[in-house]
Order: sequence, then structure tokens, then C-alpha cells
Amino acid sequence: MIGIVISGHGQFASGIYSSIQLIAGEQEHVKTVDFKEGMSADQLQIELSHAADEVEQGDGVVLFTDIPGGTPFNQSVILSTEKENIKVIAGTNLPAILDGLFSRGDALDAFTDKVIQSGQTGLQTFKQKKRQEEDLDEGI
Amino acid sequence: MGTPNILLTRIDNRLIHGQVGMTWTNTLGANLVVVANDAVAEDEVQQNLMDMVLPDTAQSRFFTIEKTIRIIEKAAPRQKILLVVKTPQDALKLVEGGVPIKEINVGNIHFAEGKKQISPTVSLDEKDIETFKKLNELGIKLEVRGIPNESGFDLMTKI
Repeated sequence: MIGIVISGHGQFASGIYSSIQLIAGEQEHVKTVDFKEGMSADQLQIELSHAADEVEQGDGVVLFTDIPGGTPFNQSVILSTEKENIKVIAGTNLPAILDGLFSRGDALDAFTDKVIQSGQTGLQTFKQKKRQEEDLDEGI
Repeated sequence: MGTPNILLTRIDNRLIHGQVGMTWTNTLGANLVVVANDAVAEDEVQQNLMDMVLPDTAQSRFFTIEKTIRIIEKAAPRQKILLVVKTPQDALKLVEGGVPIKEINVGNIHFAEGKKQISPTVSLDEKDIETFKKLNELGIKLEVRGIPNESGFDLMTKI
């Protein structure tokens, strides 16, 4: 099972995790690291490293971060250059992580591609579509 | 046509939303979510909204109660169905109409003044309690459970 670490500025990580708990319940091998005011980049790096070690089950770890080039992302990328089997994602949203929760048995690269796709298609506006009655050979 | 492959029947006031569309659909491996509700069967905005939360692997159908009763046995064996209704009364109509339901997952039935709250997400009025008693007499197992990875309990122990 792929391990998951979520990190972002302020309470992005714990906040998004509270939404996950409400929708999908408590999750195994998921850790959150909040980058709080006054915390140093080094301190964040240490916490990210601990979290990644804790969730690693032998199948790799994905670090979900908030903005590209922000400190949580940057420190995660540095960490990924030092440890094996770590992928870092920026621009995390709830559709991305939620879809990922149901694909944690995938290979690390396939998982990463899938959650990025889910995050991208999840960012959308409502469009009213005409629904069509489907003609089915069998079934309903 | 035989017996439709209904993986789960859920009562939820909000029908398909995050918990149902994401969590239950994915966890069960359902590839068809059937919403049996007279109002939503006529409401394309609601239908489009509910479609948005479903994974690509699952289709949706929005039938009236009457159409659900009429059509459900035509389901193909490959259709793994999550059946969703809004109220216990609608569930009873399906059962009395012959839809083969053995077990009902009771999700969200919202609180209102005068209702008896039996869990953080399930509150029942007199009519609901009476309906659940009837469902119980018909041999249907009633489990209160919001999401798959929390432990549920037998609704009949609380009414």
C-alpha cells in the first residue's frame, strides 16, 4: 500500500484530512504535516522525513503539497532526492487525494498519474447536460 | 431475467453525495448506482450534480419508484448495483413491490425538531420508526452505518 503524506501552509493538511475523514473515514498510513507560522524549513524537512518513514509500507510514498514552489513542496522535493520511492505532488485538491485513496495498491508511477488526472478533472464548473436515455441490448 | 445483483441498498436523505458517490461506490466496486426517487427522476439538475461525484467506473440511473420496481429484474448480471433511496418509506415501497432487498444500509436521515436521534447522522420520526418496524417484520436487516470503515449497529436495537 502506498503511503501518503499531506503537507501545506497553515492548516491546509489537517484541514483537508478532516474532509477526508468525513467523506471516507479514518485512513491507514496517512500523515499530515502542517507548516505553521514560525517554523523553519529545516524543521519542516525533519517532520516530513519522519512522516514519510512512518507511512512507508515498502510500496513508496506520495507527498501531497499545496503550491508549486512553496516551502512544503520544496522541502518535499529535497526529501525525495534523498530517499527512494518518493513522489511529490503540488496543487493538491480533495478530488485528487480522494481518488488516490481507492488506488493505493497501484504502482507508484501509475498512482501518481492517476491522482494528477483526478485533481485536474476535479477542478471544474457545473455544466447542465442533456441526459440521454441509453439504448441497451441488455441490462437497465 | 433473474435476480438483480444489488450489492447494497442505502437510505440517504442526500442520495448520491460525497460519501455515497466516492466512498461506498468505490469500496463496494459498484458499476451502477440506481437512484429510486420520484422527484429526482424528473430533475436533470440534480441528476447532473449526482453524476459529478461518481467515479468514471460507475454509471447512474434515475428512476421513479414505480419504474425501479418494474425494471430492476431486467438488470444484467454484470451490473453491480448500489441502490439508493431517500426515505424508509420509499425503501418499503420497493420491498413491497418485489425488489429483492435483504439488507438496508441506513446512512443520513437528518435531524428535525421532535425526531428521535439514534446516531449522529440518523434521526427518526414516528412514521419512520413504524416503517422500519415493518421492514424488520419483512425480514430485512437494518444497519446504521455512515461509511464503510466505521462499525455499524442494528437499527432495531435503538427503536
